[in-house]
Amino acid sequence: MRTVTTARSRYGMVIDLDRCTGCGSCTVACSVENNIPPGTENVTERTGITWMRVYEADDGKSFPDTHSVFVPIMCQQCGNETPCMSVCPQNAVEVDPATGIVGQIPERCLGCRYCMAACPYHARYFNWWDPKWPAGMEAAMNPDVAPRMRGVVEKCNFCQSRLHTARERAASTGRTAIDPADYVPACVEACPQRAITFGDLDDSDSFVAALAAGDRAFRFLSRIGTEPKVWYLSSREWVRNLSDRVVARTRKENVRG
Amino acid sequence: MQVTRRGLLKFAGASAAGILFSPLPWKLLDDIAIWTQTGPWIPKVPRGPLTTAFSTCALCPGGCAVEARCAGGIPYAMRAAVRHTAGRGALCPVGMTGHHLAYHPLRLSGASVIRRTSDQVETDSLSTQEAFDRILGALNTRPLATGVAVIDQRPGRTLSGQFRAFLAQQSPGYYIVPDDDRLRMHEAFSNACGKDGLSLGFDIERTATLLTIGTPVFDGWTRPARTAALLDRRHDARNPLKLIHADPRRTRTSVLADQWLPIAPGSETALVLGLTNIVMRDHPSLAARYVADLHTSDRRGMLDVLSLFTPGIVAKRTGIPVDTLEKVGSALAHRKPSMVIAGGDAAGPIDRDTHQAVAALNILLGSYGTPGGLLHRDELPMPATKMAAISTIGDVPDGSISLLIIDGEEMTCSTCWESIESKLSPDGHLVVSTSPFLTQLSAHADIVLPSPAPYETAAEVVGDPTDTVVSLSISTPLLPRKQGSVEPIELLNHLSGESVAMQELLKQRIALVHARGRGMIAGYQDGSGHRLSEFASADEIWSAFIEGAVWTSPPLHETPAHSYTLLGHSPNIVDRWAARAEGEPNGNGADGQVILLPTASSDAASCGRISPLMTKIYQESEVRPTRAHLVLHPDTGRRCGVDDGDQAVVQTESGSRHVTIRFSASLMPGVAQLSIGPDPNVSGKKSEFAGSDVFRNTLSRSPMAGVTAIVRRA
Amino acid sequence: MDERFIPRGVQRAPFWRFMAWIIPWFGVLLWGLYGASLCLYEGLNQTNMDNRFAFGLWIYLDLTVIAFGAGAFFTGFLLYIMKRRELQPVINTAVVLGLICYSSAIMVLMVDVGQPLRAWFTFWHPNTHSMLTEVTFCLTCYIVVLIIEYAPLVLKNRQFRNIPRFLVFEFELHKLMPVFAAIGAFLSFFHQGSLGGLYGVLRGRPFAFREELGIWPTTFFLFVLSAMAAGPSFVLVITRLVERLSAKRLVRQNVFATLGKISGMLLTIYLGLKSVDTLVWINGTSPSAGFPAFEYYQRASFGTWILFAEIVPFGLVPALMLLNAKVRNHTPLLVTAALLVLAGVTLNRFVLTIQTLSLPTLTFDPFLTYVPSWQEVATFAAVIAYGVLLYSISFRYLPLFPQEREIARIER
Repeated sequence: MRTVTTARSRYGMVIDLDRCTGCGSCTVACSVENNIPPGTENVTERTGITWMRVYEADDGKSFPDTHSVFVPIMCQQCGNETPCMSVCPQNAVEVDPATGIVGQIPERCLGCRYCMAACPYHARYFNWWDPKWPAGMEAAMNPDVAPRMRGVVEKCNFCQSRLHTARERAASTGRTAIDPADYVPACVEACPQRAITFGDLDDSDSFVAALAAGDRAFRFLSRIGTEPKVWYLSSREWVRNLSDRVVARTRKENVRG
Repeated sequence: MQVTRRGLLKFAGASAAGILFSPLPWKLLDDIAIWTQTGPWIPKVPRGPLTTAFSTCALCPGGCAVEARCAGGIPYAMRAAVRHTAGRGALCPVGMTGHHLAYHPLRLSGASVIRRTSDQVETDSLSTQEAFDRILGALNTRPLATGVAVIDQRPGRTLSGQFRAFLAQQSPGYYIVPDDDRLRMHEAFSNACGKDGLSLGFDIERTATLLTIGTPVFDGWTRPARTAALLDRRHDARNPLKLIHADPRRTRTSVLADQWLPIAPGSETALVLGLTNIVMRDHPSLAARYVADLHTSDRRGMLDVLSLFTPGIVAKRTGIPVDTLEKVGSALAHRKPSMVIAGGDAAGPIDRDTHQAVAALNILLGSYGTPGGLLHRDELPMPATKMAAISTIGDVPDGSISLLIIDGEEMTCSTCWESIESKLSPDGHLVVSTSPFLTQLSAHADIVLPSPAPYETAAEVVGDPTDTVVSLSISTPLLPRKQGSVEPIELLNHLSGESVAMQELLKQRIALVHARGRGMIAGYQDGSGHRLSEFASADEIWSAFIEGAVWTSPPLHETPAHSYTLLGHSPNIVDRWAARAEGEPNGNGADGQVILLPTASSDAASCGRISPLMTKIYQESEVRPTRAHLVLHPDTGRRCGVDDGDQAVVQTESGSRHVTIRFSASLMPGVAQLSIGPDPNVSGKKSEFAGSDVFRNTLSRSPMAGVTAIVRRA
Repeated sequence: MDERFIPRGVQRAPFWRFMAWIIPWFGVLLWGLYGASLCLYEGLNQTNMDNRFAFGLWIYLDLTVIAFGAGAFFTGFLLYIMKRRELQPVINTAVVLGLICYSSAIMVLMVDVGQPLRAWFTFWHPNTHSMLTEVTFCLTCYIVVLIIEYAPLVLKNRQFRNIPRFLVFEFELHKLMPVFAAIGAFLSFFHQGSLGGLYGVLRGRPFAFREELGIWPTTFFLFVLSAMAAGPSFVLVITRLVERLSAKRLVRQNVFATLGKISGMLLTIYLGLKSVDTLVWINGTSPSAGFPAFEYYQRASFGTWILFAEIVPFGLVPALMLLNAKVRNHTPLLVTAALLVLAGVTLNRFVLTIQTLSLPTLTFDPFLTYVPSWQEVATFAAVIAYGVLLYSISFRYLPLFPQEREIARIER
């Protein structure tokens, strides 16, 4: 099969927090798509694997004045000094220069977890257990994604297997560039509220680039300078203030995630 | 040639050096690398041609359109059929994993006899024929004056009609449906307008002010596409929706509503009557228009009761400031169309008296029968004739059932075992369940005849009962049917001595729909809509359904009744309402006492079986509460002597549960929230069915009233 | 019973007493090996580490023992390169301690990583930008150096000395020692630094992130200095402990004083630089990353006391003590000061490993705590038992302290 050389793009995501209802569809769709195994009996929110994870954050006020917001967090695909990539001792993390996607190569991962310590978004997950599906349920695994093994780190890669599929489709129809409609990550597709937008940030005509440039847009921990490619939207000031500690420091801590 | 030691060593050394220039060592290294990357214990992904198929999700009546991605013909991922307008490309997390249920660890492989010990549930297999014979034996040799009953957890299906037809021939035969909020709402409206057989839907797509009393609109109360529409309506430039949610519980709906009214537990009736009072007092024109003009027979009586619910009294009872109450009342009266919805929570229905008050307020606001309010649904015709009357478990005399069949419980279990137990004949009884899995109810049955799992059979999906639009579709089978599973109709055929095929019955119903000629059929592949007249026969519609399509019919335009009885026909309702003006105080945490409120997600599986993968949103993140987490306000917790993360025991009259304490300052002080919903980590273990629980018989109390409980450190 | 293996001219405890000492430690070792094998067989779910606490007790242990093990390279450096002859009496013990510290760190790392069979991938696909690559390379090379440095000591055993070939080999090795000391010093300088750099480069953890000097974050240099301060103190404390346990003098007082002086001087330099570094971090690095530094110290157990403790009681106090000649000549005070130095370094490594991970980064993150599981503690205990065993056997059968025979003769 002829390979398609895609023009350089910088894939990114915009999540509208004013539309997120915290239903968890993105989390589940992500797990189905990427063959993430069901949690074991004694799994907790600290040892589970949820590439896409919904947190509930609030404005720090007490009952009855609390305002809350649901914040889906996945790998923020840092574009500058990608913290996890530079620390990995054996190049198991790679940033694809053609797409800007921060990819994890689990087959090469030693499981030292240094990248997890490096990630400010806690978006990396370690396989504390052997991956196990209930008897027979292997038949319901995604044939496009290889399951990982115990002792390696994994994370969101913007459903890279779908990018490959889109490229194959483009190649088979003789196109050199993929059709943007062919490459949509599972969480974007699954969100019942259409809160997530995905696309090429470098394409000035794309919806995602327009949203990211809007007044409602912000990024988490942007001050540490890693240039994440995931933006969030909110019309509420207190939600935008969740971006950095410096601006949110007056609030008390009172969250779950 | 003589071989010297030196020569040998030289040869070995040179070979070793030379081999480095061959691919051998490097290939070996690579192979070792690969060897560390795989293992026979790592599951293998399925292989086979990749295809897509359309079907309808049958996990709840919502009936969302799904597109299944299959490998070798077996579905591996579900997504919403995006082009389909009725499903509007939205699936809930449960629906997204519906194809996993066939592999659930608690799936029963064939007809089983259930043995319950004090802390375990054991199953012994028996042949389907043996099971049939034992059930037939129980039917034929039942003691005098005892009856046959069917508990239908999913009424409205063609199969429901067959059950009713069968029961009509038994004496006595009880057809029992869940005593849920929908039933109670219809009762209240029937009482108020003196009309039976109502079927109402909520036109939330056009409402401007929506007051929900504990209705989990963002927790799976309706199908996700409608929830999305609701959210869109909030950003509507012309007539945006204002959603006011009254609930003592902090749920996702409380968080996402425009305004949350954290009413004191059990004060929902007082809130409704208080708001009615404000509307009547401040907007006499409204009251005159909808009450005087419509010849309401009891305005005076109503005013007498309402005088007990002044804003001051209601503020004290509910804990909502007078000012807020006035504003909510004003919004309901002015921002039209407005509507009040009560209940609909998987944690149990709210009481009938509250429903009567809600019906009265809706009538007063003019939301009954008008767009943006409650509209009459164009209900589906039923192919069966001469059907047994619909009753609830409360209508059945104690000790009167000797053969009980429980159907449709695999996804919902809104009838609890405690309410069933006393209805069984003490002189011997047989309980049969058709659940594909062990569930709370099937674990109490004597015999389980497991029905096929979702997507294993062409299942009928009758459509979202909260919607004003009625729909019908067929869940296209995508998986091979498991050996040993039994369609409930086969049992019914055996008992009645007939031999009808489910498919034929479904086609009969489709023919009736076709004959009526109303509505449209929309295909999932392209979203195209077709008039019913474009289809020549029921068979053609059936084929369309199997390829992925849904029939929908808009609400009926029935003129509202001209005479209402706001007080309903319920005896002594005035006294019972009046008693609601005073209430019990909240638990204050002293001596560890709290008001324990049950929570549950109401989506496709309110407390039934869900995919093992759902641990992702239960245990592995904190999106949904597990049954093991008790959530409290930090002040309440400290008064109970527990801290965040502590292991604790929560104890009520009916039982106790081990929990992990979780603090949240956003919760109402004095209450504690505990999930009764599904818990993928608990389910899958037989110990799930052990012991009694803290929420025994939740049906007898509104989930917003809660139960008194003691919390102490374990 | 085993007299023929014991070095000539020294007194050792009777064999039964030695066994009575060894066997309990051996038991601890077995328990720890069982815990470690559970982690290897069942997976790291046996530990209480999690996705937020990706590092736990073991990494903390690694950082600490490697800092303590710095005594080996630094003593070697001072003796062979700087020609500080007065350190000759402790060089052997320093080498044994270094070997114990480094080998145990590597063993624990092998349990700690999820796929130990892939450990060699670091050499196969190295990421030259990663501090951990540098650590892995240097550690692997340095453990070889330590084994080479330990080998002549083993060959000095009475029985081995009877074999002429070994004698020659040992003599040749001895001549090469300055070379190995130089290599060791070079390697150690880098990996001690890289271990500090490990945290200093964590841009995503502004609590640990530091400004760069050249291509290295400041923690690189602070780690080198603090390890060089801790190493001599550790040799001092252990030697003194062995003296107490074996109830005999092993080295002369002036050796202790020298070790203390070196430790004190380096600690003073370290403290000065650390104070500057802390001020820059509080006022510049951290706030510019969006993290007001005072927030780090608002958590229940991690108040500003931890920073104060690191700098004053575990820094300034022992530094001043060790710089004072009177204190250095008063053994109990000297040992106390050395213990304070070690406590300071231990606390510093704890702060970087555990506190860094427990502090929230996202504004809606909770503050988390972590308690190691018994498997982690057992593995930790096994390392200590392994160290005690290796040291005890070396002490009994190898001439660790050249001055011991002399002191014994004089005392007799």
